[in-house]
Amino acid sequence: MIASDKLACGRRGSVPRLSSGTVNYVGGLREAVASGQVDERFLEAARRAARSRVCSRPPPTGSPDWSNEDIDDLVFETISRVEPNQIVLAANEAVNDVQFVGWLRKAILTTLNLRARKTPGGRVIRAMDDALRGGPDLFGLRAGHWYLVGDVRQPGWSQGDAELVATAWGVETTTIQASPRATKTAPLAYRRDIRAVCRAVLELAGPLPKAQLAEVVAQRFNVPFIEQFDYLGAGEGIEDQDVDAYEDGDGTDDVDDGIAARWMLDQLTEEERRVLRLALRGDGVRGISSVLGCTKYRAELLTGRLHEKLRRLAHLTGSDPQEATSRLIELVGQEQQLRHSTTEDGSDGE
Amino acid sequence: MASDRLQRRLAELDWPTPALDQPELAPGQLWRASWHETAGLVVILGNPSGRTVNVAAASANATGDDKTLVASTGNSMTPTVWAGLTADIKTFTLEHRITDLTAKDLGAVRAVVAGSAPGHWAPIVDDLDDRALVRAELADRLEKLAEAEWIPKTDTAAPRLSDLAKKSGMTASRLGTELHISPGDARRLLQEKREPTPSEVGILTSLFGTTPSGAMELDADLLVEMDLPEFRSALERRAHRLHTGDTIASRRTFAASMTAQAARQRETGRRNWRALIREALHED
Repeated sequence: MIASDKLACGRRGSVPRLSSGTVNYVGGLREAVASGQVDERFLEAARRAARSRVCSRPPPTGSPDWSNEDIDDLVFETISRVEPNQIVLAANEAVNDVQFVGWLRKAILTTLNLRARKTPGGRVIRAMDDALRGGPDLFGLRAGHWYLVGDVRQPGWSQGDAELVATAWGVETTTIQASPRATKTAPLAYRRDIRAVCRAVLELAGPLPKAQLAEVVAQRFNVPFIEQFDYLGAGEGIEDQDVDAYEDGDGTDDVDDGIAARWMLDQLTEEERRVLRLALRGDGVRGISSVLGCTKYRAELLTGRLHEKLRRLAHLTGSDPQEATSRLIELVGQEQQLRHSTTEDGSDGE
Repeated sequence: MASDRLQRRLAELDWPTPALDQPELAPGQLWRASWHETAGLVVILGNPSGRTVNVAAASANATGDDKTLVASTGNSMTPTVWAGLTADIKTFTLEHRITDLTAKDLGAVRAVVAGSAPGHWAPIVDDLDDRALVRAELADRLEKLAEAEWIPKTDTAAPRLSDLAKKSGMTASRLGTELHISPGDARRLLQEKREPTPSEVGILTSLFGTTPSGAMELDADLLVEMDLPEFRSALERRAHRLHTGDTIASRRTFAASMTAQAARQRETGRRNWRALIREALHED
C-alpha cells in the first residue's frame, strides 16, 4: 500500500541532511518497504540511489544535466521493470537499510544499462551474430535460425533452455564475463569461445531461433549478473582495434599482458577482487572466511573461482603469465585507490 | 511537483500487502528470518520439531538451479524457492510471515525437494557460473540461521559451582558475603537457578582457583515456547529497554526469571510455559 497521505503532508524534513552530499537514512526504510509501504523515505532513497548511479551518463532528454523529472522517470522505470512485489520481497530479504539501498542501486544500474543497450538481448545477439558470421564454414542462418552447416534437422527443440544452458557450461572458454560499461563494442567473450559454445548447443538442439540461442549464450557468459556482482568496467580504456585483436585471438598468439590483465580485471567480481587482496596478504581460506564473514564453503568457492580465472589469464598471455598476473594485481591496487578516492569525494552516494 | 507526480505514478502500481504476523508455524508459509547480521527468506517445509523447523531458502532474485522454482503465493508475490537448499533453522530466527505459497506450489516445492520433479533452471555444472555465488550466499545464510543460538554453551569440562562450594565447605551465606548478595540469592546461584554475572564469575574464579561452569539448566519446554516467533518482538523490545539492545542477554535473563518464577509455584504437572511467558511479557 502506498502511503500517499504521508507524502502529501510534506514530511521531507524527516530525512536529516548531515552535510552536502551525504544523507543519513532515517531508520525504518527497509521495514517500511517490507511492509508494502512506499513513503517519502523510499522516494528519497530511490532518488539518491538514481543520482549516484547516473554519474557521467548523458540524460535521455539530451540536456546537459539530469533533471528531477529525468531522475523520477528512471526511478519509476526501475520499479515498473522489477515489479513492486519483488521490491517488497527484496526489502524482506535485506538485513538492514544499507543492504536494501545497495540492492536498489543495482536495480537502477541495471535499468540504465538496459536503456543503453536498447533491448536486453540486443547486445548479446549482436556479439553472437558477429562471432557466428566469422565462422561461415560452420554456421548458417536461415529464417531467423542459426544452424550448423550440414545439419539437416528442422527447427523443433522443445525441451526448454535448461539442458542447453547445461551443455553450454560444458564448454570451457577463455573469458567468462562481459564488461558492463563498455559502449563502443560488445566484448562479450572471445568470438572463438562464442562459436565453441554455439556449436555445442546447436549440435544438441538443431537449428535454434536467434533469440533463444542468444539467451543461452547470455547465461553461459553470466550476462544477467553483471550488476549484481559489481563487475568492473575497466575494459572501457581498451581501444577498438585491441578488442578486435583480442576477440579474434585463437589463444596461440601473444596477447599484450597489460590488455589481458585489464580484461581479466573485468572478469573478477567485487568479492573476488577482495579475495585476491587477502590472498596476497597471505590469508588462507579460513582467514578469507573470517574477513568476509562467510562460511568456509563460500570462501572455498570464491578462492576456487579466482584461481581458475587466474589460470585462464596465464593461459591467455602464454609467454609470461607471471607478468600478466602482476599487472592484474597492480590494477586491483589502482582500482582500490580509485574507489577510496571516490568515497572520500562523497560522490558515490551514501 | 515532481515528487507528487512520482508518488502518484507509484501508487497506481500493484503493491502487495505482506501478512507481517507471527502465526503458528505451518508448511508453505514464507517468512522473513533474521538473526544479528543475517537475514533472508525461507519457506517452511514441515511442522516444527522442538526448537527447529525445516525450511528451504527463498529469494526475490529470479535465478536458480535445477532444484529451484518460482512459486505463486496468495498475495501476488512470486518468490524463487531453492528446494535444494534446506536446513533445520531455529524458530526464534523467524521474524514475520510474509505470505503463504499456494497449495499447488507447495506440492511442487516438495516434489523438487524429493527429487521427483525438476526445477525451472539448468543445473550449475561449473563454479564459474555466477549462479554458484547466489547459491553459496543463500547456503551461507541458512547455515548461520541454523547455527544461531542464545543459550549459553555448556562448558562440560568446567566444574560446577555447587561441586566447588561443597568441596571447599563454602555455605550459601558465606558465598553471599563474598559476592555481596543475599544468602537466598547465593543459594539460587548454587542451585543453578540463575547465571553468575561477569563480576561474580571473577570473584568465584579467585575464590576457587578455577572458573565454574555458569550454565543454567533451562527447561526444554520453556525454550521451545520462548523461541516461538510470537514472542520475538516483545523480547526484542525488552532487550532495547533493559539490555541496550542485546537480545541474547535479554533472552537469558528472561529465561532465568521464568525458571525462578516457575520454581516458586507449588503446582505439580506440566507447566503451561506459553501462558506464563505471555503473562510475564504482558506485565513488561
